[in-house]
Amino acid sequence: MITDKISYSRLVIELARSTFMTFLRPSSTAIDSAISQMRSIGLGALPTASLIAVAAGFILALVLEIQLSQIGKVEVVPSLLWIILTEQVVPVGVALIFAGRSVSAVTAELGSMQVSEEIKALFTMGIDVVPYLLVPRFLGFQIMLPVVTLVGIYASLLGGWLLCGIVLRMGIADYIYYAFDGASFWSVMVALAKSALFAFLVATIAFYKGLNVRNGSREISEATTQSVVGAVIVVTMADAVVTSFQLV
Amino acid sequence: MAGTIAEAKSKLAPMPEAVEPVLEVINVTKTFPNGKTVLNGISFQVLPEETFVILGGSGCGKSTLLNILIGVLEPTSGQIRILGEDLRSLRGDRLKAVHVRCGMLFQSGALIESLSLVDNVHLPLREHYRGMDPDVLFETARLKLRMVGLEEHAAKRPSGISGGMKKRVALARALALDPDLVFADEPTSGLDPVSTREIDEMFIRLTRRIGAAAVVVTHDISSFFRIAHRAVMLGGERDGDLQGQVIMQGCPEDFRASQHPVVRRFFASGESETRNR
Repeated sequence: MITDKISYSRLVIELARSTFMTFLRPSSTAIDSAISQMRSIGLGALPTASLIAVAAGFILALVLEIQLSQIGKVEVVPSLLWIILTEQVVPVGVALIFAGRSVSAVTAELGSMQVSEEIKALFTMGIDVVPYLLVPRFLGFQIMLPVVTLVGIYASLLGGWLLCGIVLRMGIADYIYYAFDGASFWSVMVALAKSALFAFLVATIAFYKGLNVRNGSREISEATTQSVVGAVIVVTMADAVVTSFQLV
Repeated sequence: MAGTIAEAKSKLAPMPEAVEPVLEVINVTKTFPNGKTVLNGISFQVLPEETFVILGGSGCGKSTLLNILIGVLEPTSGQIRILGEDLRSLRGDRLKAVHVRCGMLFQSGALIESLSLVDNVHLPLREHYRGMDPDVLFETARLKLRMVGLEEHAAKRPSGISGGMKKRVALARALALDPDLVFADEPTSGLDPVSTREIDEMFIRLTRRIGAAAVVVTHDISSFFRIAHRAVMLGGERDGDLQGQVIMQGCPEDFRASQHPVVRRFFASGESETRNR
């Protein structure tokens, strides 16, 4: 990967091997680096994701209220919100936020390190690029995307309650009762599993595009755009596939 | 956990003692997939503690040769023996063990932008001496920065310093592990004459202090005469069939006295450039 371009499959294999070895023999520097990446990749996305989740919950609740009030079934709005937000909207939405924010940043960072020979410098210092650069970032995505998804689920339910409280004059206790009436632990597990899958996909796309930059700032810009677009497409298609399996 | 760097180094890189020469390049050729041959039958040796310069004009393959020597590119044919080991046969931990005994100074410095200056120098120490007292390693990094006169800037990031300072930090990093062999790619490019002289003198003083051999790629003639014990000149784009081949090897006086037309043209253009600065 220093001069020759790396294939996606080889990248995934190297990443898997290095991540396994990091867990087998963790060092304090690896842990510090992973925590730092969790902070920049995940914590930084938390405010944006939470805000969008509240808005998404509010909007979805509004749409459901309008439709269900026509058949006198507004009391099922909270439980429908739980199912739709938890299993679909929030995991995909958070992954798309990560794609726009963190995938672009990681791609640009790695691309710029290639162009400025920093990656070559690491190689000549006898430092393995994958464990040093990629594994902490991979763990940042893999841990924080599900965490932010979990926070986003509850933020979106809050948004839903804002609508239910204002329009339906539903008290918080009633809202929670109706929401959790339709809720199941399985929905949360589906959300976390999806977000873990999305994290793997968007992270590896960011690494692949960033490490394969070779020539100057124009190519960094192109790679960043391609990685965001690629991540968005892949997340959406992966969600379609996984959701199809749920119906089987 | 405490211990000396020398003790840790001897445990980390269990390699045979360096034999003369520290670097042997034997009939190396490099042809790229587009069919272009940029290096053709290059051979030379670098002896312990000497500063060996690779000279040549544009298109002579100096950078390609350096990338081959540091293991980033593979030659199409030929052999490279570095510190007694055949470079082409080295993989994984054995290649890393060779890298630990070599330092590399890149043309742009190639400092890690996300790390402070002292953390850049500390990085190879931290990665290769994990069992040692972290305070000792950090102090060693500060000492290396002090040797290049930048200790008071230790907390700054590379984006906050000048090009000349970046080269000095990169030199400190290249020498962090007290290497046996240092590679330098155009260490004075982009610098004014005063800074060029400063970097040259610092480079020579510090590499000789640790007893390291050095391989320096440059087209700066004043630097060449200042630092080189011996050199090889490669043919460039303007030298026709001689492009990518060895034109001449020897010590600086041999080059000055040479009547070879390529050598005379190279030095004449370089000296006129120096006069016009």
